[in-house]
Amino acid sequence: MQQNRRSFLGNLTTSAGGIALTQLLARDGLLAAEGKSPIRPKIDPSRPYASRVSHHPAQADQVLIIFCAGAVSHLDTWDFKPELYKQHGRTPPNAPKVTFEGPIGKMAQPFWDFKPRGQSGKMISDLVPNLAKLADDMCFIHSLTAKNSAHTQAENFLSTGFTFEGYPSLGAWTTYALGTMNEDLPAFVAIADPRGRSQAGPNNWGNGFLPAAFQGTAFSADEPPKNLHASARDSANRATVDLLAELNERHRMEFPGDSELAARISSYELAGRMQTSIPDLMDLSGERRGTLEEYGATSPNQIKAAYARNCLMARRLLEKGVRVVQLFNGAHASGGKKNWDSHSEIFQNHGTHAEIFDQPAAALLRDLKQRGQLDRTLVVWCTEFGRLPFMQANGTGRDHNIDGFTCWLMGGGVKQGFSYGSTDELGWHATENKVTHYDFNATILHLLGLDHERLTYYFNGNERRLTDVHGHVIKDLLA
Amino acid sequence: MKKLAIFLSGLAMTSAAAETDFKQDVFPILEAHCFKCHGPDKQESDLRLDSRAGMLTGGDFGPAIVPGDAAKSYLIKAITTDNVELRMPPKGKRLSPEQVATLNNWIAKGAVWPGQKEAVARNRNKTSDHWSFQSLPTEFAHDSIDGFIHAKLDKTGLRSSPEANRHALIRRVTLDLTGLPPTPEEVDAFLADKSENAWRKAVDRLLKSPAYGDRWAQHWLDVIRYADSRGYEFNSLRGDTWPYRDWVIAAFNGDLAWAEFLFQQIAGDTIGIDPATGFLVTAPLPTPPEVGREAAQIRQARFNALDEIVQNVGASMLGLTVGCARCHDHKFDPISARDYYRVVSVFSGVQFNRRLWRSKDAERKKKVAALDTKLSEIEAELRKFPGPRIVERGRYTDFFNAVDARWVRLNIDKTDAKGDGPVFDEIEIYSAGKDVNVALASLGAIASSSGVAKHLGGRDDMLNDGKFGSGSIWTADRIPPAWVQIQLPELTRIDRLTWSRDRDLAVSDSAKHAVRLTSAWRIEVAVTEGKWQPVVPRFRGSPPTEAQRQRQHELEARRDQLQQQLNAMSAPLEVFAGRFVNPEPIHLLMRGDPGRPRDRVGPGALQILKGFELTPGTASESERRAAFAKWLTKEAAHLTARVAVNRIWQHHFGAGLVDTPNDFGVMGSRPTHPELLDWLAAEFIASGWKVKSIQRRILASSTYRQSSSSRGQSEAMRADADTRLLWRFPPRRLDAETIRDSMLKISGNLDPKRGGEGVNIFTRQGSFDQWKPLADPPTGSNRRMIYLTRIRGVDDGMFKTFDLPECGQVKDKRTESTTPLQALNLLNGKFSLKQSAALAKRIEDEAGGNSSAQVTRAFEWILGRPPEDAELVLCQAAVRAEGLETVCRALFNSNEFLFLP
Repeated sequence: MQQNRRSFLGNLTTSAGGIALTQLLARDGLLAAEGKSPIRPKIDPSRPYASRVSHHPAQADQVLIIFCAGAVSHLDTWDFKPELYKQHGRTPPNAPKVTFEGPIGKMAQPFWDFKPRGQSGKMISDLVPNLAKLADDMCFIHSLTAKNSAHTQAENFLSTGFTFEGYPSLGAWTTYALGTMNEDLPAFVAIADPRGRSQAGPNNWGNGFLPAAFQGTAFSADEPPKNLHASARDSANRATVDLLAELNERHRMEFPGDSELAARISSYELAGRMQTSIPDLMDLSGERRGTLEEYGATSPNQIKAAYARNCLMARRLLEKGVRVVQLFNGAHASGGKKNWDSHSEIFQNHGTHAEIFDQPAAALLRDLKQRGQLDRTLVVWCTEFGRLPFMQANGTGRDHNIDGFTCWLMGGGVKQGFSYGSTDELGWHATENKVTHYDFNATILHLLGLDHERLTYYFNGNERRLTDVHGHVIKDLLA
Repeated sequence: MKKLAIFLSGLAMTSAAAETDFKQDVFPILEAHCFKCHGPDKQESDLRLDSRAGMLTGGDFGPAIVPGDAAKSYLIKAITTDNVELRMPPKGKRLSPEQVATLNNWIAKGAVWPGQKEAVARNRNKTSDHWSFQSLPTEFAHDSIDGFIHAKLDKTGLRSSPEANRHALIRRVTLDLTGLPPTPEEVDAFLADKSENAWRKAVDRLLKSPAYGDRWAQHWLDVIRYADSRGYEFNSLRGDTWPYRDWVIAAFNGDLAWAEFLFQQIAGDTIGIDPATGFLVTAPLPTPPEVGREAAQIRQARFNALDEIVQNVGASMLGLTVGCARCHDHKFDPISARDYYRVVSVFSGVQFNRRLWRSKDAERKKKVAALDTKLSEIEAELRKFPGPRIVERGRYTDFFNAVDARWVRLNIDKTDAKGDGPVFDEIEIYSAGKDVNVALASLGAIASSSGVAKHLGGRDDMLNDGKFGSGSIWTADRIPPAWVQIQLPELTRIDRLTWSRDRDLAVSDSAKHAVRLTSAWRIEVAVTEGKWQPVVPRFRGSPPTEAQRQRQHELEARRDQLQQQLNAMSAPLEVFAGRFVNPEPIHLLMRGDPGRPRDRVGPGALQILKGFELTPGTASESERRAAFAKWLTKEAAHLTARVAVNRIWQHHFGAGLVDTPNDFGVMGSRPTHPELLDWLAAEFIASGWKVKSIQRRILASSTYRQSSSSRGQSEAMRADADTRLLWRFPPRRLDAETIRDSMLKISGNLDPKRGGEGVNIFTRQGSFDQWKPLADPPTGSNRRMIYLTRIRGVDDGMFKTFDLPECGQVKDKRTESTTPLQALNLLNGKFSLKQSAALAKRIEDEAGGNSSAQVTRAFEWILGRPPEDAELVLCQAAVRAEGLETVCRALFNSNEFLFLP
């Protein structure tokens, strides 16, 4: 689309004509010599969101990313470390004096009890009792590592593969490659937490240097997309659209074959369809009372109820065929009040956030499973990094830990009730099967039928990738 | 390292006796463990170990061996270190102690490689036959743009298109040069001008218009991701960023020579132009709290910041991805890691911060001085008026009826600084009639007080030491009430007390310190200790007349006004254009890791472009930058000129001759018309690097003036749909700024104010990056978009979807996408409805109530042409049904409006 925006060669809706083609080939040749050659999506400019074929057969058609912002303590949730009880209150061995936020304190055992869950007997804490019931569906990675111990950079790294700003997000890459399954809705929806945006904010759903068509559309159950409707009379709106169509049709005669103009005309048609499809989607009035209660949408906790509505909307988006849904839990840094960043009072703060998060998220996953949606949907639960096994000097909170933490997958194409990799006995450093976000993202793309080494876009002297020049698909996770 | 040395010397001892056989012992080890990555098939880090020469030559990080000195040989370090990231082989089994000993012994004995005795290190200097590194030719096949373009079209069997109609031409060139559409009157004037040079006149008029700079500056600001906010988590405003933006606009408007344009952005401070170096610090950057407190992360963050500078310079000026050589030699281009760190070294004294804007601050100081003079004059006049108290700057005198006193006390009831007590230079007490300061310690008087701030080094005797000014000040240890007192050596008849604060105006000149001025006070005297009596104020001379009183009031009002002006101008004027400090030493970093420094590198430039390298530590911070800036348009001129003319071309035709304007390296695109690019570059240099001179040539060409229609060019559409061969003028969608600014201009709502601090249409919710558009746009929000505060990543709910850059990475061209969200915004957004309504009203004023005249006027404003009959009929019907506003709204959404004709 970028290289050949005006090509419109009969049935060959994309591909490259003339010079551009030879240049691409030359560049591809260079790359081929290096390793793998890029696979460029065939994008019809008049239908940028049309569904496109994957590189290889996909295990999942859609992806739901549940992003807990602020860094959830793996030690108090998914990564059970009995040794911490023994070490509790002791001086941590071989620890630096200062970690991200400041001087360190003593070792601390988990703040919640762990119990075996499901058939697999996976040890999960009481902080997330509802999600824990789904242990047999989860595929844990306990050995993740991050590159930067600051939230924003780490969020960027997780979502875009770079700690810097301005690189395309996983959702942008995915929709660039695959389009979507329902062109009447945005291909990639980012649902912000009711309390606000996470710290890297829009960079998590940004298009970076990819065309703006692939940026995530941000809206939530309580905040519809902007400008869906005009504050004008219906008849005036209709007349505007009708007149516009006529004017454009006349203008187009001067430009036979010019796909850009055709694309703009069809974008107005699509916009018209979104005017009904999005309100339909956001209208939760048809949901059963029981469903609302299950999700927690009737909770007296306003934030939890709003997050539950977001979860419900996420299900509806996936059902309608939206390719990528990014569902945020937790907003920005706020002394641990608005997101999971618990440098102090971790017991209260994590408790507050889990109360908001656990029930609605579990209901969403259960719902997807019951509806059979999980078979072809990959669920990614992630957080930018973990937390340390010892307290900060204040004695009540845990600082950032980028050397070992947990994320998990579920659904389309991954093993169930499976755990991969591990941290040391303190849950501090990843030891067995160390995984980077590069590997993590490579695996997600792989499940979506995409080769992370061949999904590239030329920018500033390089064929850029979500995984930079790194990443290996974690084959052990694949079902 | 120490451990390693001991280990090595131990090895050397144990195996010294055994004679090492190269073929039998050494070669098999190398072959089994090294050649796979450092041999004929692969050369990781540009290193080959399959010959002695290869070992001596080394790779990105220096030679692999030092014959005779195993401890200094990198090969030995790599196979013995415990560092997982450094160690070789990187995967699999490590070499056994015996194998290490064998290699160690071999190197120690001179690394003899049979048959390669004479092998020496090869010159690792980079060479290249890549086109962009070659010097410019001096002879060309053609001498005009059209000559080159037509020759290529002929070769491919395509033909150029006829000249566009004059409506389209004037609309095209006006939008192109100014980012605004022509007014109907400007269109008419151009159509009416039948003279031969009508086109040239129009071009000249537009190039002279200040709107030209507003437009063309943005292209440059895009490349280097200029924005007013920091980015990342806080994304707060940097403040004082706009002077750089204004400098770029002025540079384009004034046709500053490109060589100078580049020089000033890198070293403008050396010639007194401070805002220009804002170029260096446009990148987003995390603030220290976002970096954290771990030493390694802090170091990493500093090198990231320096890398952002290198990226700005490399991409925008040289069209090279120099940043790719940060971790190892550039994979494709002849740029070594050493080159990279030379450039880093040039900028290693640059901090992302503000500094004094000297020229503006000198103006401010002049103005302050002028105001000061005026103020002094007024104060001098005020002193002549009779009254019990004289207030001068820094000095305050109370007159009272002569009274005998042994103790004199000044009671302080209030100061102008909340939470701070008073400060005094000096207390003076004058004897009645004799005018002698009897309070001086040197005359035997003793000062005391309610308490002095000892922790600041204060003493009570500073009150009467006869020294004024900041060197000897008394500071209270408490907030009022407080007192200071002078005990006179004997009973003395006195009639006047003067106290002063900041008498030499050292403090009040700078806004940084509170003056802590006493604002309410009382004087008491005592003959017997402790028996205080208030003094009785008196006028000097006779009481004032009514006229005097009036004049006095006037003067006092004027004085207060001047004082306020002075207060407002007290802060030094600064600009966010980098703070320059002592450069830190720069080393070649293994894999870009600041924790793994190798050789120290001096400031310099790219070797492939005859770049220099200064001895580390010899050049001052500014000398480094100045030397680099000169090199850019001297030794590297052939590349910088090519990159510059390509950018100019890009913004006229929508794509550069090189379609990757930030990358003229091997991975970048080849020019579609290499000779034309070279010719333009040569002409550019010959013209004195004048942008407008190249633009005049481009705009005068028939290539630029041909029609954009594809009618009758189906052959060309098939062969070259992207129009890279320029068989027509390539139509393209207007960018976000042009759409918005045009709508404002057409509706009559465009605020013409130029320059100065940006207008922020966003508000921040909470303390972090939570910018949202203001519900009610503030005053000035209808200025051109370049004058709105640009905040990274924000969504204005209107134009972000039109490919506004996020300002994160350096970017050579905007993406051009088409999405339903654009359609929704432009069709339904408040902004669109507002401008449509405003235009409808404007047209009703201009064209009256006749619907035909109204529609015609709407077409002239929005599309720059009258409607055709069929269009007129359609639109008149719409006016009748839904009003003129609806027609305006439809036209604002039309393809014809949104595309450059």
